[in-house]
Amino acid sequence: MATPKACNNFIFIIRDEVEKEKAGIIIPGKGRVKPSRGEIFSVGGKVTDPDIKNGKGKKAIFYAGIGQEIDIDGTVYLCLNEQEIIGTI
Amino acid sequence: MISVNGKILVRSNLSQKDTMVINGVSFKLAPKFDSNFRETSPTIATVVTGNRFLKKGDIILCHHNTFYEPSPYRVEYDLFSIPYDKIVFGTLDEHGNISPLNGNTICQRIPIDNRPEIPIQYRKTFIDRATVLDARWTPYKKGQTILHRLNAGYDIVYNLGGVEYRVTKVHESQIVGILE
Repeated sequence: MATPKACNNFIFIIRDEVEKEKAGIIIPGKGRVKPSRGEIFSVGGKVTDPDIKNGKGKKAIFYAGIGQEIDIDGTVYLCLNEQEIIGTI
Repeated sequence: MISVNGKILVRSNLSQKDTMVINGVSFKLAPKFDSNFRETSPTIATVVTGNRFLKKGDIILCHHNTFYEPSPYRVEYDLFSIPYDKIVFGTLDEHGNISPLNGNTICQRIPIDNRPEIPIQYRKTFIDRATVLDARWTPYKKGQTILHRLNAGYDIVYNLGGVEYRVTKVHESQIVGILE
């Protein structure tokens, strides 16, 4: 199975799972909101921020509705620029 | 004459895509009626005054929006002064093989559906990944699969010696990752 490795100042993130149920009520597909946080999977070599650079495996928060989704063997990775990350947890 | 401000002087035949040789027969084309400018606009030029990377007489491959009649780069009829780092994609040898320059990588699109019953021209390809064919001056290797920004692949069509060639290039800055 091929795994992606980020280049330049890009970061690959595996987004947290979408909430399908809230307080026992199933949320329909249209109402589901993609969370704007996820786990850092791979960090490109030109990333300058030390927190992101050493942040593999950490949770990151980013702006909603941003980034490019890349599907590799069924796993969806979110590709973000360094500037698009708000912070790490 | 020495070009300054990172520019080079080139000559380009503006009717270079008007003829094509197929199986030894020369066909006259009417590309000016085609609306796809990547197919119709001239892309090949010969260096008149180069820089430290290009010498006089080199054949270069340029962006398709460079060589046309009211072009801002035009000096006289077929003489153009073009910025080296933005417009030049690579050099060509006499057989039409391209050597990329300026951080460009020559790639091949990856088809989504490889069923043989579908003609090649109708097979859809990925818009976010490609296989590297030639990537000198960049850290990527031949045969490697790169992931790039959506639709970052730029198709170049050029006609050398009556033979049409097509390659896809991706700039280094548009590459987001590689597959290992």
